[in-house]
Amino acid sequence: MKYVKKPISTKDYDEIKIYTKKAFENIGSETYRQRLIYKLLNTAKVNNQNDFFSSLLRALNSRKDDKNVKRLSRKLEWLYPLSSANFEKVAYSIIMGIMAVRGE
Amino acid sequence: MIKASNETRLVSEFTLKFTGNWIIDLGMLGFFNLLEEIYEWNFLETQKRIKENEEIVYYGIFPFAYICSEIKRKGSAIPKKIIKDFVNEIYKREFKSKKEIFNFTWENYITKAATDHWKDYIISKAIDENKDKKFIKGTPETLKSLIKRMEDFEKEFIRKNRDEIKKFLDKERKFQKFKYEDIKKFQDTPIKFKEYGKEFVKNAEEFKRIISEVDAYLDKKWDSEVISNKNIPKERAIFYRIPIANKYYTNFLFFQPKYTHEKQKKELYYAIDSKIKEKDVLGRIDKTINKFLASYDKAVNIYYTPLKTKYFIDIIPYLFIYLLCFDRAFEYYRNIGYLVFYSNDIFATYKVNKRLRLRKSKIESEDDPNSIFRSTWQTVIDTIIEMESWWVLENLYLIKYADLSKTQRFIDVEYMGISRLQATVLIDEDLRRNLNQRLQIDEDKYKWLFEEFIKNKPLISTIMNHLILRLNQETKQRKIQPLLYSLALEAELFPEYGFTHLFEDPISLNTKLDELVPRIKKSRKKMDLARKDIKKLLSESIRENNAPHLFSIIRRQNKYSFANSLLKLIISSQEKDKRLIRHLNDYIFHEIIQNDETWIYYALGLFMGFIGG
Repeated sequence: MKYVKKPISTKDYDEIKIYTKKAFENIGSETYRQRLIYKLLNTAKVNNQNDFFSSLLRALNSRKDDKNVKRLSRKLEWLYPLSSANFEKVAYSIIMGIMAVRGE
Repeated sequence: MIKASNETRLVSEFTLKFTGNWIIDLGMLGFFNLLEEIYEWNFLETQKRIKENEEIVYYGIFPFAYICSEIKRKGSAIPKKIIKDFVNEIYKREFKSKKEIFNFTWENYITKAATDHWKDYIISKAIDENKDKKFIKGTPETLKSLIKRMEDFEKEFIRKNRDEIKKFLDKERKFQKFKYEDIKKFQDTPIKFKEYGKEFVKNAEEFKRIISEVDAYLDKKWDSEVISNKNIPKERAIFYRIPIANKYYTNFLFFQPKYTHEKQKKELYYAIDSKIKEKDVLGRIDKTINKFLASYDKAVNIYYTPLKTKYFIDIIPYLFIYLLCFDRAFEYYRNIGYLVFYSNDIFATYKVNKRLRLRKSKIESEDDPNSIFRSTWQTVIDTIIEMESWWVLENLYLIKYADLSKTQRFIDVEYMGISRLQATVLIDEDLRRNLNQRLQIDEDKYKWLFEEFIKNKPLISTIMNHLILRLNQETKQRKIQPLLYSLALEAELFPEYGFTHLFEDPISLNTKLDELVPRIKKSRKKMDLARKDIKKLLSESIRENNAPHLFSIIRRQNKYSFANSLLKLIISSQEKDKRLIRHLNDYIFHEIIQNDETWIYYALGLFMGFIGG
């Protein structure tokens, strides 16, 4: 897969995390999110972008009309495809965004 | 004694203060050391006495102490009573002039204190030297004949009792005549009749009697012609010279072997009175002192320019006294050499050096070449904590010179200082207290965080080694805060943050330095909070079981792997405290995930929650 190197700033990661948190506030139960995080953590660990995004998008798909989900999708669309180094940072920003729902 | 900490606030009231020129300043320190050595006066006592009566101190107390100390260096003792009598007497009397103080001191007490040393010198020369050197110019004929009689008897004595003498003097090889030390032994040791037999004892007693005669003759001469005598017979002027020599000031002024007693006296007075104006004498002083300065080729330290006494002579009163005392600032340490600690504060310098001397045997007994460094720093820290004189921290030197006796020309000087940045950090009490800790890093090996920091060594490796022991329960140390302070400090000093530029614009550096300590403290606080959160969030067994695994990931510097394992632990916990979850989430996201440069310090900070303490 070819990708263009995009400059991703701290602000971008902050936004990814915030959008993810907002989007997931309305998706599934605590247990559902917990299971999803496990899954995402496992795919991030082996640096598997395809599996990571397919799990994530499947979850987002259930509320594709939500404005926060739309915002996140647009951001990811802009980022995609990612180098493996950038992917890790993006992946953990997403994971931590989902986890942050529990702190609200 | 007046309490030091109270007194330090009166620093500005000290009569004698440092000048900023290290050679002169160390001379002042040597001056204090000298008076302490002879009169047992501490720094404050000497300052007080200078304030009360400066002239008595410089024209009476100093010359007496200086000559006594030179005599002591030659191995002769000065009876305590003479010193005590002198101090009592000089403070009781009234003097009309400086000259009168000096003359009184020299004629009555310096001469008295020098008696034994002079006698030893005269006899030892007559015994140990040959022909021309045997008798000093002006030696009275009576003494010559007394010595001749002693030597004649000695020959006979050796011929008759060679075996007993060999036994008595512990001599194994052949010998023809006595040396001065042998004569001393006869003089000082009682001879046991039973051990050596009748004849030997009889002869030895006779020999002792003859020696006593020589001794008594010299006593009488010195007493009648030198002590309290203004007009020493001219023909014996060199004979009565006080036999002192100084390795540092070889042949300088009154150390000059050809000088008469009178000339010695005059020269010492001139030195005290700063009357030395002759160009060649000043030149000699400059040369002597400049041995301590590296050549221009080698000079890497540009702070010190060669010292020319003529520029100082009118500005600094008693300049030559300090220059003469310069070598007394140093203390000799076995395996290290002559050493002195120097800072810009006279009291701190005095205190640190005094404490270093107290630790001398410990410093010398350690194999570690860094022990002097460690001891100095420990002493400096103890002293400034007590004195609250933090400004000292910015200006510290450890000056060392090699052996003097081998070569006078080449002397090695080393400077030890800390940067402004380090001083800024250490001025803060919390940071200093937490860095002033020894961390166990091996079964019997400890590292002092402070030392590592001063030496610009990474603290993180020490902490890692220490944590291995903690994880394996091989250390009893349980402290957490020193580790967190070290981590926060190093995280904030990370090279990327621009503290490495030596020639940075001082104004911008100042601002940076001002912000540094608050930033370190803020980071430490964040780490501490994350650590506490982890402790609260996870049960003890989970923390214990996962600690080794997490630590090994940190050691491999695998940030995402660390985050992965940590997050799995966090999501499986049932914690309901939302604030705690939020804190932890923010910490991991900002300080670890987003932080590519210093994440490891924050990861370790959080990891502290996994270990006991």
